[in-house]
Amino acid sequence: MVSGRTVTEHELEEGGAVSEALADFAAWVPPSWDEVVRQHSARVYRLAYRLSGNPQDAEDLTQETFVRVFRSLANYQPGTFEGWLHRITTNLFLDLVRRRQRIRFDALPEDTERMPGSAPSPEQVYADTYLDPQIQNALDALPPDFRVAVVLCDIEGLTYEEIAATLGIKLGTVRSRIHRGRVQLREALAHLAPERQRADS
Amino acid sequence: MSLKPTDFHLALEAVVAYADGELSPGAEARAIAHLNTCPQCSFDVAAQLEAKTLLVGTGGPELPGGLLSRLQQIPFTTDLQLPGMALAMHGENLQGSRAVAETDLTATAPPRLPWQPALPAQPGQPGRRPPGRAEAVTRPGNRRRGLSAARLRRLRRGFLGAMAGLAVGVLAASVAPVTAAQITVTGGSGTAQSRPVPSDDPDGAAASALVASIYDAITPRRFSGAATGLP
Repeated sequence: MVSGRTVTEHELEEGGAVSEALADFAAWVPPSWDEVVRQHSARVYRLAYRLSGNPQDAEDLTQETFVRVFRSLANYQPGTFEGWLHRITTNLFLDLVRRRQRIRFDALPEDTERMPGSAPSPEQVYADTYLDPQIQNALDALPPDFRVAVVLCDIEGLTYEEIAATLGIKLGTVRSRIHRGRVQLREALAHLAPERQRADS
Repeated sequence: MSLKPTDFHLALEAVVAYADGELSPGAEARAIAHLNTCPQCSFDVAAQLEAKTLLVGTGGPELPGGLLSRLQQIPFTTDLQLPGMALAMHGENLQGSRAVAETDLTATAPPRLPWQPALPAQPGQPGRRPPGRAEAVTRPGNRRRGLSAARLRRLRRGFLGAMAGLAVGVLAASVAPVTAAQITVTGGSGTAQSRPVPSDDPDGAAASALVASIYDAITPRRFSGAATGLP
């Protein structure tokens, strides 16, 4: 029971934020770090993989997400853990994309390993991710902002409001990004749906 | 309203929101009335659903095993950046650091989180610490887990010279024999508890504690030993 716990002087010294937050935690049993990792890592990794499209970036994003989580636990408000994870992961991904775009303009990056050319084979991608490589490729081809919205909606199953909160954008922007992202995705995958092609013509 | 349902098309935002069931009941009823009469908007909705169907319910990739263990070790490899965790470099902080190490020895839970007050062992609650964690916690260097490897490297670089100077200075002081013995113990396989601070010689105690704490900070062997000793 948390409510019965006492705080030693040393702990109060160690982090004022912790002691302030303790009141909020009174009726809440905090999970251990091991439980946090076991409960959420697979989902964070999946999101990171769907966003980045490759295992190396997905691992880096997942690792960095949990490092941020660990460092910010003192500020964590119970009840929003998954939304918090979504927010950290997607923001880290968008940061990564922007950084790479800058690098592309500035100079040839030293780390070219993850540029196209060394991509794993489609069979490998499918074995690794259980997502049709053509679909993953179509996702990868979407502008990052659209990709994030579509992935959060269709793969993570978030509502528009949750997506808006996660990305810090308006509901109307969420709608239009999902709409346009899906239209582009469908066009990229037109060859996968012969029935619809007949209906179109 | 004089407009009939066939006089307009659904806004693109309404199309997507209808496909996702995100319209309010009233708006949804109006959208349905329109869709019943408008093949173009019906097609747009179908296209949205088609793309959605490709993604919904797709499984996730397996979490790489190495990643899972790296995530579990984050408490031991991450600088927490809390005020109290910043560098137990001063003699007066050494006692506090030692208190943390001792508290950890008795804690039943795995790595204490910032939201978790350090507790004495709670009878009745089975320990959740995975096997092997206990060893790691008992290692003396483990109380420095708040320091990242990079920070340790920086510290080592920055304080190599300082340590040499300090060691000479301390050795030259009147408490030289005692201090030298303590440094030797610290550098060897001794534990934090085996480094006595003589109470009858405050100056010597402070100086030797300072040297010991610097030595701890610049000895990555201890840190990496703790990190690799984990399950």
